[in-house]
Amino acid sequence: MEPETHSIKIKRSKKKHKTQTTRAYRKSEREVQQLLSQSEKVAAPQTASEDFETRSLKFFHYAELAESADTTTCEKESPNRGTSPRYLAASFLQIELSEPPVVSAQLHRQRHHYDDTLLYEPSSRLHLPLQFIECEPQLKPCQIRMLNRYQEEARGTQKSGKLNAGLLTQLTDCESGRFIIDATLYRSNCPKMFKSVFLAPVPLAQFQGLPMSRCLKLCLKQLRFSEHPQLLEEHRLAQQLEDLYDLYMYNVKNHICSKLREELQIARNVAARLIDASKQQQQQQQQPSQLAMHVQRQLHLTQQLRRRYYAESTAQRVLLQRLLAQWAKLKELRKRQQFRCTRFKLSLRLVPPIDLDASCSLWKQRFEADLAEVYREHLELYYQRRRIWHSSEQSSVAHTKPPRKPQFTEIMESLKLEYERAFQDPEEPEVFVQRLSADESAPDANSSQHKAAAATAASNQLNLDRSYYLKIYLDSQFVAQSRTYRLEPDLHVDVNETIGVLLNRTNPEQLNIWLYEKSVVTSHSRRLALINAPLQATQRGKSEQKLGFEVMSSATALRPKLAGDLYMHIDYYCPDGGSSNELDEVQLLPQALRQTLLVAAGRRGNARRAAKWAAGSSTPLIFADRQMLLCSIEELLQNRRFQLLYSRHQQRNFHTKQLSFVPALEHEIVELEEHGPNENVGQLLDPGTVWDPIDLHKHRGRKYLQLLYETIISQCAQRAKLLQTPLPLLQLLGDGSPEHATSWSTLWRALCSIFVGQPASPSREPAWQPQPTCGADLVQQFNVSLHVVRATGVPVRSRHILNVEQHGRRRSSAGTGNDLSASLFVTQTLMYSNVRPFITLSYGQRLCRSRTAEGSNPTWNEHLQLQLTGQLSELRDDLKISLFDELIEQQYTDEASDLYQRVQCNWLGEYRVPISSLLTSRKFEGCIELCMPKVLVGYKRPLIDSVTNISVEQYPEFKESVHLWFYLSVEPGNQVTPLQIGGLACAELPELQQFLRERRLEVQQLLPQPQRYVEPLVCTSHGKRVSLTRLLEPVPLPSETQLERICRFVSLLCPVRSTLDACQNFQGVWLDNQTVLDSTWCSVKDLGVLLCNYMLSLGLECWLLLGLACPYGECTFVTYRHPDSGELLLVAPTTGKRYQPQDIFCPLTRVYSLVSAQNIYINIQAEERVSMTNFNVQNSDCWLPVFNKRQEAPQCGIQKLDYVYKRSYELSQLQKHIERKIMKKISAWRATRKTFWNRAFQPRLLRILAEMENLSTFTSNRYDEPAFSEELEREYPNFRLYGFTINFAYTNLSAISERIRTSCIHYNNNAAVEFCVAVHINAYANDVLSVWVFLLSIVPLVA
Amino acid sequence: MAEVHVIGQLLKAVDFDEPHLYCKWSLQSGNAWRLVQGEVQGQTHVSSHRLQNSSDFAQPIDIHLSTAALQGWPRLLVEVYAVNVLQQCWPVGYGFAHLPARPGAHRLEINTWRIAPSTWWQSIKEKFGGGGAALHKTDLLYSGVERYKLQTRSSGKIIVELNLIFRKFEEYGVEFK
Repeated sequence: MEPETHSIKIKRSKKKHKTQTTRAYRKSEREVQQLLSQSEKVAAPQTASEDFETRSLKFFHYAELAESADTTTCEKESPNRGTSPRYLAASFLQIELSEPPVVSAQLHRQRHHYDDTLLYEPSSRLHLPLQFIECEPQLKPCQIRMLNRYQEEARGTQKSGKLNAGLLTQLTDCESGRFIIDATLYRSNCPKMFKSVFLAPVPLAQFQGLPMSRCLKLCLKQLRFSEHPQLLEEHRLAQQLEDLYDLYMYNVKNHICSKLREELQIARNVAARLIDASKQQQQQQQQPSQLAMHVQRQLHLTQQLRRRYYAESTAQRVLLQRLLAQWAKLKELRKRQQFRCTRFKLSLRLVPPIDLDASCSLWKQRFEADLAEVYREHLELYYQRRRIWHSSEQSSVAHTKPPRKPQFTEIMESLKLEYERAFQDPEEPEVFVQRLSADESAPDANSSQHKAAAATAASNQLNLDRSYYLKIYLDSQFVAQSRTYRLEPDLHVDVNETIGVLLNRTNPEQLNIWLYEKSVVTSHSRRLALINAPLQATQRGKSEQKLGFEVMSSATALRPKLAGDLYMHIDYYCPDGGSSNELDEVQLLPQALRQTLLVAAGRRGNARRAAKWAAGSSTPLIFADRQMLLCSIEELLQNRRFQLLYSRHQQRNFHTKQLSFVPALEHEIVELEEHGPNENVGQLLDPGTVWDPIDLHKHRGRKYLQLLYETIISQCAQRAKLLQTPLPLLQLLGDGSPEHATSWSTLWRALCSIFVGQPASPSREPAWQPQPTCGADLVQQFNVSLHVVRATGVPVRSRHILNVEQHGRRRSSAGTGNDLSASLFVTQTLMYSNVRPFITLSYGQRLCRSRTAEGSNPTWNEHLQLQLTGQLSELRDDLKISLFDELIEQQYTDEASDLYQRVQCNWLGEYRVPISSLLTSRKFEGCIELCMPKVLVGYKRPLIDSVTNISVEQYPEFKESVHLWFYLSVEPGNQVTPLQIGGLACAELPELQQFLRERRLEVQQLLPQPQRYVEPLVCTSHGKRVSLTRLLEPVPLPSETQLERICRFVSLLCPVRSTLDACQNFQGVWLDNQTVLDSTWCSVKDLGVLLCNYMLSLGLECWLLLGLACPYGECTFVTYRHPDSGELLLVAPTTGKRYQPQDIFCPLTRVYSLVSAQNIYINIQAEERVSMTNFNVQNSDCWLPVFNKRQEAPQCGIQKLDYVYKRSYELSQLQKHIERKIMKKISAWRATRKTFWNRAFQPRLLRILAEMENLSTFTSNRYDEPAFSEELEREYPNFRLYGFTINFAYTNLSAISERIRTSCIHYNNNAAVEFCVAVHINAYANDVLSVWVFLLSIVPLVA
Repeated sequence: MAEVHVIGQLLKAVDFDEPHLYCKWSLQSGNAWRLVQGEVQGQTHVSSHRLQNSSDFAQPIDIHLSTAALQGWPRLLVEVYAVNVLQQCWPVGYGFAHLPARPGAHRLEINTWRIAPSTWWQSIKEKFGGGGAALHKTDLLYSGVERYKLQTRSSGKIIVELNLIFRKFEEYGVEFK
């Protein structure tokens, strides 16, 4: 006790900041210490007991107290914050407030860490108890750190928290730690696994990091053509000689023969020794031992070596002989042709044997030695055979001849022969061959006069102005290009160029060299041949290579056959010092080492990684980016976010160009994509600004046509003005009659005219200003008046709508009495007249309506007036006459006094009149056929049987379509100034023009009406006048070949609505088929021409009919003779409908003339009505032909006969757009109520729509297809359905919304109403689209 | 996809002898680096200062790069040109600096050098008339292979202020402290 307090005092005096302990603590601590000391007394009596408390304090405070000096700076840190769960033991201490609390520096340092459990901090104290810590006390700090680290890891991953014993021994081993470079080790949480790399342990000072670059030196020596257009016999010979010489010199230099001879000699000596030894052994012991076997083997070896030696020597000798023979041949050739173009030259040196006798004796000695050996071998063979023979003789009965003894002379002869072949004769001089270098052989050429002449001859023969260069690619990367070198006369190109390539990133696998020939004349060079060779990066040092190439001759490219060799050196070395001699010293870390070093890391998926390692070990070079990439570049390029950002940066893609936000995380982009699988991400932004390709096509087509019209109008106006201006005299005279122009009188008159004051100089062409038609920009008031008389065949309501009405009626008439329903007549009338139709006239937003009439054959006899205000140029919409049914629904509340009526108007059909044609023709009158929807849900055609028992034929008003008698007029009209095409250039012959001019005067007298004469010379889209008959000729059909489908196709081309309607009548511009089909816009008359041409190519007999028709004014129809029945039919090209000539409902009102390819027939009948017109053109009383036999009609030349149809664009996008547009519009129009969209009906509607196109093409013009509407009604009896289909050619989205708006389906005030829309598009060629829209309103009957 | 945003400005050129300077700059990076957005090269206006020996450029730099590797870390190459009264220009400084491999704001000082006049006459000419030798191959700016052939004088400094933002490097185990 005493020493303890004493020590505390000492401590206190030493250090200012000292932990104070409480009394209770001290007491308990004392007890513990006592217990400890008692137990330890036996084991360790020497324990110093003086500082038990300090030790305990140290334990609790864990840290060197020396550090506490630092803590003063941290005093302000609150102690609560500093306490960390790791040091909970410190809570035993009661901290006295008088003294500043002790806050350790370590605690302070850790306050940033959010999670202590994951934290690991290297410390130099060992955390785990080592059993053998005493025996190896000198662990290095790095080892301790390593151990600690693994201990922590093991604690984290395994439950036991124990370290592997093997690992422990390895880590505590003195030698370990050598691999560790950095003093601190980091461990990150990154999921990416890098490939580890093994580097041989080197001292840290010498370590250079991974060798990442390499130098490749390519030394191009020369190029030799072995196949060339200028190859001569001499070249071939010389090249062969070169190759032979190379081969021979290789043999000689390697001393193959002499080496073999030495080897043979050694083998012989060994054999002789062995034989000696075996003899001795045989003398001593009788047994043939292993030595005999050795002898046998050695002798065999000798024999083989000798044979090889002979063979090699023979080969070398043969080679030399061939070389010499070739050289002789070459020399002879050179002499014969008197010039030389190759440089190859050999010098021969004959060295006769110095001492003939010596060499003879040497030869003999060798020969004898060989002979003895050979003979012995033969003898041995003989003995062996003999032994075999003996044994076989004894065993078998058959007698065979004993083997013959070898003849010494024979053997000697054969050996001699071999010797002669293999070695030179002793008398024969030794031949040394040497190739002379180029310089020595060069002076030969100009040594003498005639040789120079020969050289010029040679160069004449060889056009040597060729020069070549090489382009070098590593893989596909261009590296370098050599300079241009001339082709030498010996077909060599000496390059001698060295190219060094520093490889920094990848290791090329292939070396590709392109040979180019530089053209003398132009700057272009021709690529001739590809020379390629694989590159082995792992090998180091120089390697000589001879790369061959060959190109087949090709007749088309005028390329001769080429072949040749490129001599080059390839050298690899390390650029930085080359400290190591192995290039690929970098290896992957061996598996074993990896396991021992990184135990914890290698736990997971060991097998998988091992497989990867095996795969990776095939390319041990750590060299490229590839090996050390974070991720592959492909992965980067495929990254959605990157693609998006990059395409936005490029500004090419329309969708991404306007993208203002790109999500920061990839998965957000994915989410965006899931919204619309077909759409791009960018399209979500603003679909309105995105042009559909079809829209674009239509828009451009219209623009094109407008431009064409404007150009032609301006041209016409210009020419007309030019014609009107009085021509100056001189020019007039000069132009008109040249013989007069030269005379003196004309000159005199011209001079007079100058003095009189007329300008003699021809006036300049007046610059054309766009002249607006008068009053086009004035705001005018137009009065459209419609007198609507009556209609027939208006559809009647079907059951559901009827029910409502009757229901209401019953209730309303409840007061007056219900006797009405008893009468049969009344029910019939009711049944039949449940519809209450009225007519509206509307233009744009303006509308006026008639009163309602009753029944399906209503009579209004009413005058509707509509006031339009606007500029003439802005009036381009359609005037619409629509038929509605007024549906009055009674609504009652509980109190009988409150009675509401809900009026709903159901659209039944419409008739459209282009306002421009109305303005032109002032009035339309008569009977028109309303355009009714093909399917009208909720209504049905009135059935005559249900009303009367008169047969249908006798009741003419009941037709399958709805007819309307009306009178439509406009005030004031607009007189279109016709296009003055007379000034345009005419493509016809002057005689024809003259003829037509005369004919016109004749014809106009015969005509009952002067407007029936249509000028036969019309303006084409090229701005020239041609005869009308030229327009008609068979043109290629779209893919359809049925007449009905072609009519449909033509009717779907859109007539352009514009103010430039001067171009649209007969005096205007007639388009050819290419213009019409490419733009898909045209005027009404062009449709007739196109249809007529199609019919011609179908082989039908048809005429183009020029006349007036109801909603269009001047337009063309087509009449054709039906191929089966032979009757004439009229076809309206705008609708595709066919009429019989007697049909009174035909929209055609006047017939002017008929045009065929051969002639033009003008109608001279007094009868005006179409139904009474005689259509037999042969009848000269009725029809007057313009052309006669004297002057035949010119034909063909306008239409494009090889027109190719294009496929339409993708439609699904457009369909979606239309659908969305309609939904958006209807929702917007129903501003006060919420619009519900029903999706349940949509598939059914789509199914109906899919059949519509065929139905409308092939069936008659019946409007209602009862099957569909009835089917719908039957299937959903609990709903009141009203709906219809609309069909039109696609022009643009706003036109669609306009059509939907006129149908007024959105004016439905029922709260429970739901809408359904379905869109179906039928595509023909060239983006001619027929859009079918089904609109349905659904009201549940039972709430 | 690891990304780097380089935002900053080419602030000024200081300590050049010539008064009227402009600077061509370009950012170069390795094969694994892709430009996402921004201009990687440009040229500043001609600038001079009346009192100090410095030319303020304040050329904005805003580049977004993405990378698949650390190799080819981007570096900023600058070439400073002087302009004289006759509107002739010649290079007076070449230099480059790697982008700092540490996110945050940085102020880089790029020391530049110029080609020394090779003859006495040329040096006289340069002193009075201006003009100087230019590098034929600009890759000499950053590659060390053939640099030993050059004899240069040290020139002024280009000061660049850059803010670097690194994204997603930690996915690949690259941590910036």
